[in-house]
Formats: sequence, structure tokens, C-alpha cells
Amino acid sequence: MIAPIAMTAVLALAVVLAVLGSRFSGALVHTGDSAPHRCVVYGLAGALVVHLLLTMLDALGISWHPLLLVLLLAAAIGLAHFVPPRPAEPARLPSDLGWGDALALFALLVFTCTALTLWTMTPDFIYHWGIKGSRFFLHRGVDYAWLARPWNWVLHPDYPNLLPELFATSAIFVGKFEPHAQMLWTSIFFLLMLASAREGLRAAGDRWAGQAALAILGLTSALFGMGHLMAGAADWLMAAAFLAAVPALLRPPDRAGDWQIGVAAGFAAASKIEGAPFALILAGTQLLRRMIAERRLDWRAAVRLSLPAAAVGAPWLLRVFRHHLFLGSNSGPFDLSRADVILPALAEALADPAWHGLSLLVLLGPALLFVRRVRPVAAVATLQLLFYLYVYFTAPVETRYYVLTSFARLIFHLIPALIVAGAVALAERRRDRSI
Amino acid sequence: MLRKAIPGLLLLWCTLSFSVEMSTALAEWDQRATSPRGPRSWRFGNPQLDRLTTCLDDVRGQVPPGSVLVFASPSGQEATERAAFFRTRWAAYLLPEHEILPIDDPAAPQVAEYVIDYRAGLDLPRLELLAQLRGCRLFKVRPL
Repeated sequence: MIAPIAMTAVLALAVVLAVLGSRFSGALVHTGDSAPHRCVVYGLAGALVVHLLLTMLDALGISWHPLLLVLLLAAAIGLAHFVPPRPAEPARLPSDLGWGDALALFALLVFTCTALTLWTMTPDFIYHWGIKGSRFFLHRGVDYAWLARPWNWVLHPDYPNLLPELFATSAIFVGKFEPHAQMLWTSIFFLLMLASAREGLRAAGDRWAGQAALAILGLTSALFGMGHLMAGAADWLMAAAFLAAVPALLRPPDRAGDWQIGVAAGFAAASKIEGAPFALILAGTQLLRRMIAERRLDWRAAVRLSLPAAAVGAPWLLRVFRHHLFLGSNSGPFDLSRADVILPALAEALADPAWHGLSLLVLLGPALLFVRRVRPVAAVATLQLLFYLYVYFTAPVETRYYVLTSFARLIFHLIPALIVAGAVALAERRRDRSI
Repeated sequence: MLRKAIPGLLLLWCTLSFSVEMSTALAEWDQRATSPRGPRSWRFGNPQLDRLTTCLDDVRGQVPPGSVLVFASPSGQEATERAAFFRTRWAAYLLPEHEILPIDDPAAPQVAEYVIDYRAGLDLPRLELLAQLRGCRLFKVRPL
């Protein structure tokens, strides 16, 4: 009986996050943004605010009592009402749902059914994300002393804690950590991915290509999620963050776009350790676009782009160094001779059966650099891919094992956004030819 | 032509691959009770995991929360399996209220308060049998 209540708590918390984020609509919303994409940006912004609130409670040594959390959330929603400088225009609900939406939602539904049984749950839920969520639920806060135990290096104690915090917070409201219910977070992020992709694909201006790309994205994410056992993993947060930034990257830089990209960057930085370089790359790309367009450095834009990631990253770094959580296995000297091991391992990882060959879509990153319209998305994906390769050349661990156990999963951060960019590029090519 | 052919073929491939993954997941789910998986690939519903859960449920009733428990289990037939390592990780997940570390951890002799012997056949002088549980034994560790 606890599972349906726990699932309701997860869904209710997700709604509260979106409501909290919607208080910042004046800054976050671009004219013409659809209601689903607004929900994505609101959800990400709300999650960041809650993450910062929980971080503050931890810093003050206050435990996460459910009543305190309710009061804090209510106060945050109330106070944030005064933040927006101007009200956003009314949201526009999508009235053009098509076959691509239906296929993508069907894929999401099937994936959710397999995830709720825990059959497609990621092993990392046991070894990393779930155990942290469970422990933080019991501890009523991030248990840094526990993370710092020498034998707990296997838990990646230096990772940012947004996902375990979401697990723990929803469990605190029910009084029990219920893994079945926690799988719903993955489905929520999957849904956010589809909503952002839909918004990005509107830029293609080609309904058929847009619907096809949405269906491809939904099916690809679901099939990889089932085949590679991805339910409960934080990689969905990275993919959702990238996709949330895609609509802003596909249009000329603007104020709301800066905030949307800034929030996506902060969300990624709070989700995984590789989210920190991703945040830098994402914000840096938008800032560079602005500098090229305006031929000057807009400091206010730089603040909008960097503030969320800095607000998340600074306390995280402080905690990591204070509790000596940073693992030595994260970095080492660059060793080019590892290429002999890395290249065959990369080929093997790309051939991971769970991808069914679709892993090759990651090559769209460098390929799309030649298409002006989608170049910012391609640049972010390519730079992040290069960062992953750089880590393989530097991390002082058994290289082949490292590549084989991570690369197929890491490219999932990039492929959904590249599918959207690919569809936009294809539509662009058709438009160019028809002129 | 190209505009529809490339996404169309990709969509067809995705649909077929999705169907394969869906049917594989369902077939494996149906066979979960007879799966011969090692600890590295355990999933909820596997009988091997159910046996470990039964043992740990019994441990929970015997040991106060916050205790430091050392977990011992047999290694796999091949070193690459790391069976004992992955069983310990499962034990840590299933007993989040405790500190769980593997018996081969350098800190174990100093910090261990209890030892769970999950079919490892431990016979160490500092161990005092506390309880014979379902599928495992629980020891109290005598101080150094």
C-alpha cells in the first residue's frame, strides 16, 4: 500500500518544484515558449531552488523535518512571487499533437512500466544514487560523515547530490524509502526531455520531420533505458538539462534564453560531476554567441548564465574539499599512449547491444558543426564528448574497464539533443534547397 | 525525398529495436525466478537476492542502528566477477541504517563491531557467534 502513496508523493513534489520555478516566469520565459517547455524550465529552476534550500539546511546543521520542508517550500513559493521583474505572457498549450507525440509517449509509458517493476533499474541505484537517497532519508540530510568514511569511496562521495536529495525528500514526506516510487523520477525527466525536444523541433518548421524526430527520440531513450538498465540513473538529468537548453541555443541570444541556459547549466552541475564541465561549456557557448553577435562582453548576460551554476557549484566544492571527498581517481596526467587501449574500447562501447547501433548518432556532434543553424548545439555536444575522452586519457584507473563501463551511458547525455539538432539541420537543408 | 527517407528509415530501425528491448525485458522478467545471475547482475526478483534480503532482515533485528558491520561472502569462481564486492554493495544498500564494509577492507579489523558471514565459512579468533540466521551467521567482534 505504501508504493502508491510514495508515488503520489514523488508526483506531488515534482508539481511543487514546477510551481516554485513558475514564480520566476518573468525572467525565465521567452515570448512564444509553449506551456510544456515552460514546465521544463520551471521544473529545473524549482529543483535548483530546493537543492539550494537543502544545502543551506545542511550547512546550518538543521535536519530535513517534513514539516520544516513544507514550510520552507511554501515560504519559497511566496517569497519568489516578488522576484519576477515582469509577468510572463499566458502559456500556450500545444494544440498540434501528432503521431510522433503519440509514439514518444507510448515509449515513455512502456519504459515506465518496466522501471516501476525495478527490472530495468540501473545497478548504480544500488551502488550510488539509491543508497545515497536512502541514507539521506534516514539521516534527514546529506550525511557527509558517512560519505567521508574511507570504505565509502565506492559511492562516489564527491558527486553532487541533487538526485539523492529528490529521492530522500519525496521519501521523507511518506516516511519510507520506496525504490519503486523513486523510479518515477526517471519517467518525469524523460517527459521533460520530450517536452523540450518538442519545443526545439518547432524551430525546424517542418511538422513531419519534427514528429519523426520526437518519435525517434522517445523510442531511442526508452529502448536504451530498458536495454542498458537506466531507470533511477542520474544520466537522465544530464540529458534533460541539455535538451532544456536546446531551444535557447537554436534562436538568437536573448535575456530569457540566457536564464534558461543558466538554469540548465546549474541543474547539470547539481546532477553529476561531469555536469560541472558541461555547465561551463553550455554557459560559455551562449556567452560566445552573444560576444560574436554584439561584439562586446555583456556582463549582465554573463551573470545570468553563470549565477545558477555558481550558486550550486560553490557550496558543492566547499563541502567536497572540507570533507576530503574528492577521489584521486578523477584526475591524473594526460597519457597519450593510452590511445591504444581507449580507441578499441570506444569502438566496443559504441557497439553496445543496448544501443542497437544508434550510439553512432553521437557522431552528429562534429558533423553538425558545419550547419550554421545548429552549430551551438553541436559545439556543446562535441566539447562535452571531448571532455569525456580527455578523462579517459587522464584518470588513473584501469582504462579499458573504465571506458567499457561508462562510455555507452555518457553519450546518452548528448544523443537526445543531437537528434533534435539533426532534425532541425535536415529541415534547414530542405528549406535552403527550396529557396 | 532525402528529407523523409533518412528519418523514416531511422524511425523504422528505432521501432524495431524498441520492440526487441521491450520483449527482452518482458521475457527476462518472466524468467526472473530462475535466473542464474551473479551478484554483479542481480535484480530485484532474483531468488539469489531474495536469499540475501532474508538474511539481512534477520540481521536488522539483532543489531542496533548505526553499527559498523563487516560483510563476508565467497569470491566468485573468476576474480573478474568480484562477487564478494558486489554482494557487499547490495548489503550496504539493503541496510542503509548501518555502516557496511567488506571484510578485506584495511579498516575492518579496527572498526568492525559485527560480522555477517554470508556462506563464507569464517573461523576467526575475535569472532563470537551471536546468532545463526536464515542463510547467514552473525558474529560479535571482540575488541582488540
